[in-house]
Amino acid sequence: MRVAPKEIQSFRDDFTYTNSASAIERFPFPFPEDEYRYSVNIEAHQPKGGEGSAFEHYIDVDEHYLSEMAERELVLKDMPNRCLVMPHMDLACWEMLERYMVSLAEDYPEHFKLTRDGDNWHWENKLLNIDDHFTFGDGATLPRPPLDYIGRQVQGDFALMDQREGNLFMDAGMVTCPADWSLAFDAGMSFDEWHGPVPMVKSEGIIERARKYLMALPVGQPVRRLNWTLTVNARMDTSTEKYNEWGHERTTITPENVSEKVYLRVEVQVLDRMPRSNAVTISIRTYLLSLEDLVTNKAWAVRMHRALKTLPEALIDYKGLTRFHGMAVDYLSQFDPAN
Amino acid sequence: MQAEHVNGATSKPVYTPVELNPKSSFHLFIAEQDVPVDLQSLYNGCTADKAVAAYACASDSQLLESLQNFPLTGTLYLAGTEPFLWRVTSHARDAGLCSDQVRLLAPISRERHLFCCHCHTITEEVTYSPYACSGCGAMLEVTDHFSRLHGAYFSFQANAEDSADMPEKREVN
Repeated sequence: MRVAPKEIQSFRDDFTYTNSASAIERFPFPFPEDEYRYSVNIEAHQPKGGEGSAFEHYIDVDEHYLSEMAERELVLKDMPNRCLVMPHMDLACWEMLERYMVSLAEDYPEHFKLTRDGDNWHWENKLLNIDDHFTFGDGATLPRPPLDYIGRQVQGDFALMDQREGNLFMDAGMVTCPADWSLAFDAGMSFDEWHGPVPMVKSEGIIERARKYLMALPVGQPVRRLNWTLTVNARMDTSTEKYNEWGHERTTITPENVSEKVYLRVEVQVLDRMPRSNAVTISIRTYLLSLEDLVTNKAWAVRMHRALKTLPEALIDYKGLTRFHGMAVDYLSQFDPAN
Repeated sequence: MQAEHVNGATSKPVYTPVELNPKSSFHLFIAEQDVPVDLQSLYNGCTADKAVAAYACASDSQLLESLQNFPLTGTLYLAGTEPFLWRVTSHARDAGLCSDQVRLLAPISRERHLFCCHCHTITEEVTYSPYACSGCGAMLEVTDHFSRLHGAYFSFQANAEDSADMPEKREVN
């Protein structure tokens, strides 16, 4: 059974965000083994897990669709430069818009409809009551530039990378729910620079291998990888821009509230080559699950405990878990029979 | 974002000793204001077609014009503060120069430009951390995460998690 978008919930202030039982069941749990380690962990972005799975379609539209789109509007109203596009990325943005509209209309015909007659396109998004006619490739015919337009209708953050000079450069993006980074600062950076602050990866050669892999990514063969961290409260916008507003929440965790206030934050990152611009698009789709919801799945509770317990100190620090990592491990230990 | 890890970031530029490009038939030496000794000695040692100039501003119109008309076989050598080096580099890229055509001498000062991730203001002449943002006033933790586009280092509010927990003042190099 597919999860239908539900009423708007908040990712800030009163934090009304919740996961239904079916949303918990389909949560993309990221740990394939007990011990956590860095890996490039890339697989083909092919359907997996059957009907209702988070990997059933190219784009996953779930019960949080309306909530996430409302949250995105709040962020962009406050800081319009969370969406940045360098002029040479215009074609890549149109290609991304095309890719997203076509797949949404094919996979969710009850919600989205695309009618094309040459360059004359008609787009209907019934979830957000959008109904627009426009000329593909002509920005003047859309209410907003192409990335700004489609980005407000698809869950997740987006980065578009230009490929040149033997590297990938992040020259466009819409980033309203990042795990502690800033698009405004990282814009224009090469793949290696962008990952500059990540610990351990240099000595392990991971970034270089990932870059080489992505530069050889063929058209029509998207790939995905999962990344994760822990977030205090169901806060989508943990950008570094707002770190001065959410950072103090890391000090609010106690053994009593750790299970309800600490969320496993999983990013499903999909990387796809655009055929004409040769850009690589990355969508970074964020899923949040409280520890108390997570432990309703006994196998996940055990694995989460072991992954957190064996997490290297450098990663605990980098992910910003230092203040509450021990409490999360202690809480989870009760579900691990090895203890 | 923990400072310990942002420091030592691989995005921090590494400046290796600069040599004349033997493949070039034209060499342009640009300094910010005064020509430093090491740039001067490179210039003196160059026997090919060459020119030297100093500009107070990285976006000087004359400088931009010389980049627009830069020969395909030319090499550009830059000396000055770090923000100057990268601003001129950015203009050179816009003008079509490839990375091998632009060579940077080590910055003449250890002062940094600091990008405040909260208000996006760039604070100049920063030599220690934490440092007050000239835009929003937040005390900023200085990191080694560097943007060539901004010519500046990343920073964030040092005591955002616990207002009573301000890191001790330290020099940045």
